[in-house]
Amino acid sequence: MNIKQYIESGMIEACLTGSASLEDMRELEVLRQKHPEIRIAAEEVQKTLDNYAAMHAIHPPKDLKDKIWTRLSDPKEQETTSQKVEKAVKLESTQTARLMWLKPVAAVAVILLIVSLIMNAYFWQRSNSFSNKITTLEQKITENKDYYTKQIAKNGKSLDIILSANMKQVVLEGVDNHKADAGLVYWNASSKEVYLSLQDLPMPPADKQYQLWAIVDGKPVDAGVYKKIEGSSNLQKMKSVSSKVEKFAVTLENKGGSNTPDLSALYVAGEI
Amino acid sequence: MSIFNFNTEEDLVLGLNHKDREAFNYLYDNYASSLYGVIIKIIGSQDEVVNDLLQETFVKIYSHIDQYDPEKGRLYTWMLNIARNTAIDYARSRKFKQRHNNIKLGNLDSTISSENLSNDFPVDHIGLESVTERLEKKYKSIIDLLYFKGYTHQQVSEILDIPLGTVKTRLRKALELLKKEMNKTK
Repeated sequence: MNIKQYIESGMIEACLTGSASLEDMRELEVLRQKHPEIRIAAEEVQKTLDNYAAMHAIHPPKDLKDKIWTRLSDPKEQETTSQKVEKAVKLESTQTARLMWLKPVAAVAVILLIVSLIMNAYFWQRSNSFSNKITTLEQKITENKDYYTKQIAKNGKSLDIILSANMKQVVLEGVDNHKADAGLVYWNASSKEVYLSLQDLPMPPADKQYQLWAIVDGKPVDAGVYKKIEGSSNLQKMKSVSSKVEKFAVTLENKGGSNTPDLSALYVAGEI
Repeated sequence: MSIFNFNTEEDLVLGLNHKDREAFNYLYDNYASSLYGVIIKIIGSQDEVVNDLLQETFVKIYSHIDQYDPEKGRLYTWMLNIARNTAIDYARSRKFKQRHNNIKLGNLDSTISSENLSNDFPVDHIGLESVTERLEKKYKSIIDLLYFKGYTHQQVSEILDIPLGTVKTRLRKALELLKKEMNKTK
């Protein structure tokens, strides 16, 4: 560094009058020890200041000396600042020393607390989603239950019908082009109830429906249309027929049925 | 005559460390008036508070003596700075300002206020006067503002209405001239 420049800048004078920053004063301390020129320059400036201060000297009042000595020799004043600070630090450290064992324990406790809070949040969220799932499942089960109950009831009914002693089973065989097809009629002569199952027949086009005919005295009598539902066993109750029925036949008619059978669309038929 | 020999500053400091009465006597007899004079210069008058401030200075000297580092300078310099700072702190405090609304802190020329001539003129008041007479006002004022009043360079540049950089160079010039004048008086 440029020593001459430093000296001529007036930094030394600024530091020694206490008007420079702490940084600058610290720097001067370092430079004084490093460079003899700076040390000498600083000593000169300091001497000037010290002497100038001494020129202002005024005798204090005579009694002040003893007063000051009394104050200084007061046992309370006996300790130097450093000693007082030392005492305070020691006191503080014994107080904290007693509780030192708490420190690591406290730290661990805090960590555990945080971990447990995180886990709580996680599990709560999981539990929430679980109960949501459960509710959904319960609903589904109820729906299924209702459905199956109905199905079973239906099936139960069908079974009852079939197994009734008064029921007569009439097999409807396929005719002409429909040799592979077959249907089933259950007929109760006394109650005149008729049940039809066309399980094995193909699904009709959307605008057509199967219709059951009862042949009475050689003439066909409408016994109702059949609603074919894909995939379910279908024993449907048809219209009641006269006990004099000789034959049953099924044709494919337009949706809603027709008054007279379309004999070209005859699928299956069977004699009592 | 004291038993103890305080030929070296080291001995003196040792004595102070041990709260020795003789050491205190030596210290007080040789330096108290310098410290007292500086305090008065800063406060602006020989107000009764200056006695308390001198006492405070000695209390601080004693309680901080173990922090004094001979490497950093003379004991006298160290004590002077304690006295200066004690007085400057008080001068800036509200207490002082409340009691002394009338005193202009910018009163640069007086060493003792005429309203309170009690004890003494400066011991070397003739010498002081001769030096300050010969020093140009602008140089005298910059030393007073920075060294005795403890203003910052920024504040001084505002008070004297000069650029910030000029403060430093003018202070250096002032102390150079002061040194010359003081050497002349010798």
